[in-house]
This record gives sequence, C-alpha cells and structure tokens, in this order.
Amino acid sequence: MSAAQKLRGGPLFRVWRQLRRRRLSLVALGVLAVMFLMALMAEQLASDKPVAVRVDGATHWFPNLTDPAALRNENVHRLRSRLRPELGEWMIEPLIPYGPFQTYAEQPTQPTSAPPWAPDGEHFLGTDELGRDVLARIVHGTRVSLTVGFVAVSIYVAIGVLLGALAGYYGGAVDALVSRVTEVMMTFPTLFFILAVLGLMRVQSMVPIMVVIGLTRWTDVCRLVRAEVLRLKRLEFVEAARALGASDARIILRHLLPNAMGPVMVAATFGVAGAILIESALSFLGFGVPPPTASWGELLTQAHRYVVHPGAWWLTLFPGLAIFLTVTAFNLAGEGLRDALDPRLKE
Amino acid sequence: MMIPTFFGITLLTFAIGHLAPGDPLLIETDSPLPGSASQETIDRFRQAHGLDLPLYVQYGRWLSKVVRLDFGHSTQDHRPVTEKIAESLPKTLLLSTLALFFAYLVAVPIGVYSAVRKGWLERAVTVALFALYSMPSFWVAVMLLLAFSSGRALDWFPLQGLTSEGFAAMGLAAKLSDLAWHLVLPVFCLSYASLASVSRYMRTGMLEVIRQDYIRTARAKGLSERTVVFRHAFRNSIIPVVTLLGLMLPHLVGGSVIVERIFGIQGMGLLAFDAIFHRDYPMVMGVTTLVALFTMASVLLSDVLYAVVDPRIRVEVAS
Amino acid sequence: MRAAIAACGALLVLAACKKEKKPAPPAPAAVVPAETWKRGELPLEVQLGAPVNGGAFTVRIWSEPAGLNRLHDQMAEGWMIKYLTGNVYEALAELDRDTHPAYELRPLLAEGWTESPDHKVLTVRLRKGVKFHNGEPFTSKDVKAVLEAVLDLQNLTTNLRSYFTDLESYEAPDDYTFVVRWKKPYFLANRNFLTSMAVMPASALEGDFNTLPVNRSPIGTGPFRFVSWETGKAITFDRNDSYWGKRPHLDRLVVRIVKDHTVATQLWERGEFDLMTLIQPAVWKSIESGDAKNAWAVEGYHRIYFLENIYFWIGWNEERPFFKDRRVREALARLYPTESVRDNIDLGLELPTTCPYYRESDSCDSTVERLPYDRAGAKRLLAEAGWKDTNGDGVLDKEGVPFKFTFLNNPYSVRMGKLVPLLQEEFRKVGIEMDIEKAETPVYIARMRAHDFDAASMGWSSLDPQQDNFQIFHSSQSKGGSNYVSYAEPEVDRLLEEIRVEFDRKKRNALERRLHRRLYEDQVYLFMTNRPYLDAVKKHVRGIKPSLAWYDLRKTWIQPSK
Repeated sequence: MSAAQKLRGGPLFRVWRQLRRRRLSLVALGVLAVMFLMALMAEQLASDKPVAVRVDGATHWFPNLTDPAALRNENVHRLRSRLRPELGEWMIEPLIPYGPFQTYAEQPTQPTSAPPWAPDGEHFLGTDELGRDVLARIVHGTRVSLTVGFVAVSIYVAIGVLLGALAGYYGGAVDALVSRVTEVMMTFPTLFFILAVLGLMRVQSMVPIMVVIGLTRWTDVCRLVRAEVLRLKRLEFVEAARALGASDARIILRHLLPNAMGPVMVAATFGVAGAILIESALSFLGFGVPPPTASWGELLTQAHRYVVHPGAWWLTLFPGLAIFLTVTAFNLAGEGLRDALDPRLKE
Repeated sequence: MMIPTFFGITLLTFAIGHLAPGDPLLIETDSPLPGSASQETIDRFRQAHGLDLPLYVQYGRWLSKVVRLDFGHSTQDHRPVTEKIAESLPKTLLLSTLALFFAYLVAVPIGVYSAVRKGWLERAVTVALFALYSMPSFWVAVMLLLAFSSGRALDWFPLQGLTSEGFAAMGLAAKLSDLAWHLVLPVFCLSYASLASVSRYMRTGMLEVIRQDYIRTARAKGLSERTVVFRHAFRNSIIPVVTLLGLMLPHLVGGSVIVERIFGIQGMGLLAFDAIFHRDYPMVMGVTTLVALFTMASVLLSDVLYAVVDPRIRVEVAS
Repeated sequence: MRAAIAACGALLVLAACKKEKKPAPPAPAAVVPAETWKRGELPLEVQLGAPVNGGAFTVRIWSEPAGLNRLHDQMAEGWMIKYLTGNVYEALAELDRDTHPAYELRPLLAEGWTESPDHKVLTVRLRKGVKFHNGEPFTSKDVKAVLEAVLDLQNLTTNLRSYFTDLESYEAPDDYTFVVRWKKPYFLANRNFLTSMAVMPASALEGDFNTLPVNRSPIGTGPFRFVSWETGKAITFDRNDSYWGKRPHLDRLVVRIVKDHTVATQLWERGEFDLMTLIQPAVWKSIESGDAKNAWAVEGYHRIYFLENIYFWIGWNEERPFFKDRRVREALARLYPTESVRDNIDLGLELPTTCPYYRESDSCDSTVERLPYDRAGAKRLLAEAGWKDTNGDGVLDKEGVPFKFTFLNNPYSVRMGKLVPLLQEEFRKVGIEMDIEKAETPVYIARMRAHDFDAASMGWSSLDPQQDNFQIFHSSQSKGGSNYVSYAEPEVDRLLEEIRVEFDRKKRNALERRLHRRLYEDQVYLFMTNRPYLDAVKKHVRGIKPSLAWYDLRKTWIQPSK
C-alpha cells in the first residue's frame, strides 16, 4: 500500500475529518501550533539581539543565532539609539526586545526599585526577581516544556506499547515477565522515584529529566495496551484474522494495536501534560533544569516566593497561564483525537 | 506471583541505594571538619556496616533484614527507619485513602454522566476538569492557602498540620471534626488532579461499552435507559477504572511529596523528600521498599476487583 | 582548633540558606536605613520594668533538628537549635552577652579557673550543688564522661574533637576539679574547652552514641528542661524548678517548627509567635515601606536587625589553571556588581564586607577598600594575565585553553540562585563562559572538601567573635582542612602561625588586621556580605535583646496586658 493511499483511506485522514468538526479541538490544535512556533522561533521572538540589522557597514542576519563578534556587546536598545538611517542602516527588531537572560543590569532604563517589576509598556508581562522579562522567559520556556513533554512521552509510549502488546498477545511467560516488571515499576511512586534517581545522580541537564520520566511512566500505557489487547484478541475479528492465517506480527500491528490506540492516545496526551506538570514540580522541589535556563516550572517556583509579600501576581499568573493553556490544549486536542480516532463513533 | 515482584522491588531499591554515584559512607561520616575522620574511623565504619563486602552479599544481608522489617537507622537523626516510617505512614495513608475516595466519589458519576449525556453541561464539566488537571498542585495549594487560610481573603481553614494545638485533650467528636477541618485542603490538592483522569477513563470506558453490540441489543430489547446505563454499561466500563485504583496509590504518594511539604504534614512524602535531599540512603531505601510493597498489595487488590467486575475473566480463571 | 567553629559555620550557613524564600519588594531598595535599627536596638521600654513570672514563650524555627544532643555533629547543626538547647545544656562557661562585641567569658558550671603562665594547663573549679534535670548531682565525672565521649573516635563528634588535637592529658583529681593539659599553647584552646562542651550526666552517655536516649530527650543542668518533641510540629521545654542560678521568668518555651517561610509569615501575622525568626528580606522591606496592610507587624512587634558574625564568599579553586593568578581573581572581583547586588538582590539588608573576621571587632582593618565594579579594569587584568580571545569565538583563551568553568551552586540558597545567573551574564560579557551546576547540601560540602569544584560559594560563621582563620587559609590546610581553594602564601602562613600563639589581644588584633588586608589584596575569596538576623519580637515580651550568642531567655519575661 502506498503512503498516499494509506493516508487517504487510513485512520489519520479519518481523524482529521472528524477533528475538523470539533471546534474546541481545533482551537486547541491552534494553541498548540502557536506554542510550537514559539518554541521553534524563540530567538526571533524574544531576544536582546535584532532579527537582522545593518550597522557599521555590515549586514547581519539572525545575529541572535550566529552571534557575530561585531555585535557581541550590543543589544537592541543600544543599537536603536546609535542606528543612522541616513547612512542606510536599518534593523528588524524582535517582537520582544529582551533576551531570556537579560537581567536588571542590562536594562535600557535605570530602575528605581528592586525587581521584580510589574508589567508596563516596557515589559508586557513584568519581570522576574532578576529583572528578566517574563514574556521572553515564557517564550523560551516553551521549548523546555514541550521538549520534556514530547520526548518523555515518546520514550514511554514506545516502551509501553511494545511491552503491553507483547504481554497481552502472547500471554504465558512473556506476559508473566512483562507483568512482573510492570508491577515492580508501578509500585514506585512516580514523583518520588524520579526525585530519588535525579537526586542521587550528578548529571544535570534536561536529558536525565526526560529519560527518567520516560523510563518510569511507561507502565500505565503498558497496562492499558495489555488490557486492550487482552480484550480485543478474544473478539471475532481477531479470531477471523487468525483463522485466515495472518501472522502474529500482522495481527498485532494491523488488528490489535490500531484498535488499542484510542486509550493509548488518551494516555499519551494526558502524558504530555503530565510530563510538563512533573517538570514544573521538579523545579518547585529544586530538581529542575539547571539555571539560567528558562522553564515555566522554574518561573512558577520563583513566583511561589513572591505570592504573599508583596504579591508579584504577574509572576504567578502568566507562567501559570502558559502551563494551563498548553496542558489544557493537549488534553482537548487529545480528547478530540480520541473521539475522532474511534471508528465506531462515525454516526 | 508476589514473590518475584518483591524481589524485583528490593533489587531495584538496592540498586538505587548502592549504584548511584555518591558514597553512602561519605554521607554517614559527613562531618563539617574535613579529613578529621581518620582512615581508621573510616575502615571501622566500613567494617561495621559491611561496606567492604561484595554487593551481592550486602544485598543478601540487607534483604534478610528487610524481611524482618529492619531497615537500619536514618543517617539524619539515627532513629530506626521503621520507627520514623511508623510515625509517618498513617498520615499519608489517611490522606491518600481520603483523596482516592473523594476522587472516585466525584469522578465516577461525572464520567458516566459525560458519557451518556451530551450538551453544554457535559462540555463545561469536561473543560473544568481539564482546567483542574492542568494546574500544578503546588500552585493550587499555595493559592488555596492564600484564599482560605491566610486571612487575606477568607479564614476558613488552618494553614498547617493535621491537628490543632491541644488535640490530645479533645473528645472523640471534637478530634474528628478537628482532623476533618485540617484535611479539607490537603485532600483536595491531592485528589483534584486524579478527578480528571478517573472521570476521563470512566467516560472512555463508558463510550467504549455503550457502542458495543450487546448494549444496542439491550436497548433494542426495550430496556430502560437507566437499566442499560447502570446494569450493563456501567458494570463493564468500570473495569479500566478499577484497574486504575491500584495504579493511583503510587501517584498519590508521589503527589504527597508536594502536598505534605506545603501543608506541613509529616507523612511519607515529606519523609522521602527529606531523605533524598539529605542522601539518607537507609531511609530512602526503607520508604521506597515499604511504599512499593503497599502498592503491590493494592495492585493485587485491583486485580482481584478486576476479576470480580469482569465476568469474562472470572470464567477464564474458573476454567 | 578555632577554625572548626568556622568550618562548622559553613554547615550552619548552608543549612540556614536552605529553603529561603524571598517575596517581592515593593519599596525603593537603594536606601540604606538609619543606623539605629541596623544595630538591632529595641526600644528602651523592653528592658524596663519589674520582671513578671509566668507565661509561655513561642519561638519559630525553620527546620527539624536531627536530635538534641549538642555533642553530636549532626544534631548540633543549625545555629538556632544550638541556642535553644543552650537553655537545657550548660557549658563550664558562656560568652557574656553584656560585653558585646568582645564577649568575655563568664563562669557557668565552673566557679572559676586558673591558667598556668605558659597557657598549657587549665584548672577548673566546678560549681557545687548543681543538679541535672534527672536529679543526679553534677560532678567532675560528668565533665570527664563528656570529654571522653567527644574524644571517642567512634562517635560523630568531629566538630568538638577538633578542639582537642593538641590535648596532652586530662584528669579529675576530685569531684569538683577538672584539669586539662595542652601540648602547646594556643590562644583559643581554653576558651573553646570552657564554652563548647554541653555537659550532660555521665550515666546518659552510656551506650551507642548515635541512639542515646538524650538524643531525643536531652538532660542538662540548664534553666529549662525538656518536655516533649512532636515531630514536625513543636519542641516544648518547661522551667527548671531546681535551677541552680536565678529563676527564669518564663514557665514554658515552645519551639514551633515551621519550615515554609510563606506559612511562617502567615502564622506570624496571626500573632502565633512571640519571637519570629528568619523573616524574609522582601517581607521585611515590605513592612518597612509602611504599607498599611502590614500594620499588624508594626503595631504588634518590634523588629530586630542584628548582624551575624558570618561572611559569604565565592571561592575560586586555585588548582584550576584559571584561578591560580591573583590578577584573574581580582578581575572576577571587579565583575561583581557590589552596589546593584546590594540594592536589587540583598535589598540593602546584607552588608558588603572584605573581612574574614567579625565586622565590629578590632580584627578587621577598616581602611581596606572594596574593589569597584569595573568591567574595563577586569578586561585589562585578564589580558595582563594572558587571557585573550585569540580565535575570535567570543571566549577568552590562553595557551589553547578556553576560559570555561563551572560554578557549583546549592539550589536551596535563594540568594545565590539569583546572584549566580547575574555573574554568569557579567562574565559572559568579558568572554568568560561559566556553567552552573546544582548540588544538594551533603554533596556540595563533600565536593568542596574533595576540592572537586571550579568555583563555589559558602559562608563562614563563628558564634565567638574571637576566631582563628588558620584552618581556612593556612597552606597546610588544603589537605584535610578548610582551605578548599588551595590557597598558599608563605607570608599569610606566617601571620596565621603568629596569631595562634599571641595571647595579647591588642597585638593579636594588629596581626589579624594585617592578615585581613593581605587576604583581601590577594583576593583569596570574592568576599561578599555579612548577613543580619531578621527577627521580630512581640511587644509584650520584655528583657530580651539580640547578641552574637542569640537571645538570653533566662532574663526574658512576658508583660501581662493590663
């Protein structure tokens, strides 16, 4: 079967047709698309360097990526004031003229009070305790949250589906082994287990966080797939396929897994959301991504320090909203996807 | 079936405790004065704790103690691990059980409702649950404290702990109400995230079942919608939700790390967190093993329940 | 040796830094408030009036102690519990709070003592008729048992044991005399011995040191006796009816354990503490700003600002190729934006310092001037030291080695959590790449001790303003001592050795001032700040005042409302 055919007649196309009918899911997908764009283009959206500039007789495209020596000690605000249009100099500024690491020490205007500063015309969503632009940090934080969410979930869905399908289909010794491993893994409280492993490991980057989440959370998917496969393999159509001489691999891949995908998709979408929440919880507990990387969880953790006195509401509200929006979008999209995926929901 | 799981649990726990970088020895003899622990002290310590033996012997020794529920002494305050756990476990169990109960009590009806009824209310409930699920629990906890306990807005609930001053002197009724009063916010924080997932699974299961042929048959037979939904659909669709029960306990214990920290409840979560933070290996291993064993029991329970509610499985077991 | 206190201070500081949460400041920060409140002066009325007996006194502490045995390394950790158990246990002598800032010795369980002319023999006459809380009489055999417990290599008493490395012998010739002999004279030997040993009954020290009953329910001779300890909630002490000294006024001492600073602030606002401790700087500033919503704090409490004997520093490991050169260390110091850190991070509460001694003592040379924030100067110094960007990648290099290193940071120090990213940006601008690695307290300390770091930060503190920096800066102490940065300078070594045997305080202070200047010029550390206690005491509390040895609760009373 060709790829195009597969697409037309395959489940993906059906899913899309179904999805198009659900407004809320479409909105959610839209939100996610924006998030992805933000993650991809963080440097172009929020940076202390321009998107492009012509200055001192040289044109620099994307200096925020290439980091040319000539602009190393420049930022948008400084360039703005020394640009000479009469000499043909120009600049394309990023939407947010602040980088995620640009502290109070590098602000265009001299502060009159200690940060965090409330939102104003300069910082649309205010700044954090170091005077770093909250919006810029949220934009750059998208990358961390989405990466952690997707990679961790990909790891565990892959593990879970594989093991679950094998266990459910073959039963017997395979099932026993997988079930024992699953049970052992499942008996460890996720957050506690992740904390213990991260706390005892010395490596610090996003990678161990993702891997550990991935390696610990596959059990839900595994059990779901196993239960589904166990249920499905007794149904007539599987018996029929088997009677027709289909191979095990074919039965699993063509008949069982596609039908078991519904719950897996639900689990996976909840999972991305869950992974984003876990990341923020780890930050809250002091085991998050290393500084100064911007992550939403880290922002909320900072916010927690400012909740009561004197109440830097912008630090609480906006990163909270970012998490909230993304996670809700994932769930709604997943929800739509789930209903759309289900071939029996056509009426 | 439980024996291999038990070995798996202890093996994994032992691995965490011993293969992670960082010498437990270093932590135990951790003293502010560098080098003051002489080689002699260190050797004596290693010998006393059997750290000079090969790992598998150490594992065997540890296991033989674990079987007798002896996890050694906490390196933080040198109290027996078992004693500290015995102090904390009831609090976490109370929290988790109530949270589970609350989550199921609210979520199952919502799940059923949203599966069989369509309309704006179903949507609203769905969105509200998503919203809850999407909020980090520490954020919600702090917000709740601010709203209901800080005296800034309302002053309905206590800020901290499980009991008031002078709890011991209260009568039974007063004790219970005091405890309940303290439990409202932590239990809510612990369970609100599960609300969404439980009701999601319930709804998924319901939808799954309602579209099955036998439900159509039942409907076609002219049975009332109520009978169809509750007698037939509900009973079958609760299966995935019941299996969740066993899986939720570890999540709740994990979640208790945050909730107990914010509400100052000296339970297993806080115990575990402090142990990890202080690299208190005997404590970490003790808590991990015990929580894992508890979960194992609850998974077993959910398997039994699974068999009870799914007649097909019972048939298979019987035959 | 004295440095043990300092080394122990590191732990205290790390511990104290943990879990700090600083809410936001609304007020202009740059204003340094007037001197009066800076010194922690309480209004005169607090010290006036006739003491009234009775009442319970509630103190907030922020962490659960590991135990209440003050001889035990882990259990004596954390200054607050040390002071609180100071009401249960007594030593032979105490630091006299009335003689701030010198803190002369005042006899406690000793009636007096004599020192031999060569300072090598100390003979202590013990107080008679003193009873422990369990009714046992206090005699020299208890002092002996305590000393022996400290000296026992099996016990986790390395902090205290370090005072006795030069101990030659000890004896108890009769029930009320105790003698110690030292191998060589040392200006702090006797002072350390007299003030640091928490005396408990010999009978209580029998058995496994780690699991002694006194670890959980202490027995001492002090003005308050232990009553109960509810894990995570509170520790309660009651007045000791048979106290040998002047009757304390308070009937009960309740130590409430509240870890979360936000929650503590809320409980404080409800008036649940007679003594609120560790007020978060932002909360402090917000109260100071006169905001009406903080009226409760102004009306109900006296705030106490009192500088601790502690200084925070950043250490550059001189075993690394970058930091051996003094010019590089000076360049880094010139990249530390002292003023903006004071205003924006420390909110004007911590004070910049250059001195490894107590700020108000004569050990600091007040003419030493802090290096200015000066990026151009830093660049020049780096270039002089050979660090230039030869390959144009934006990072300085020398002999093919790029200037890249890692800052080891404790995730629970909020202050460093803010400061380090700031420095990271500052360094990046001159072409130094700094990564940040987080390590929790035990690992952090272990790695400092193993010299397994490039750059890191800590604070040294000492309860006693008479302190010895030998263990911290002497070149011999980079192996096994607290010289984590492997600093080695013959002149400094000589000064440190002279200080140890100089018994004349004036002469010693002169040496210490020379040492201070030399250490700052060498930029052995990037010296940062002294930190204050930020406490508040309810207005009905009387007879209380801050000191380096915390509050003297023996003299404190609660004035009943009319």
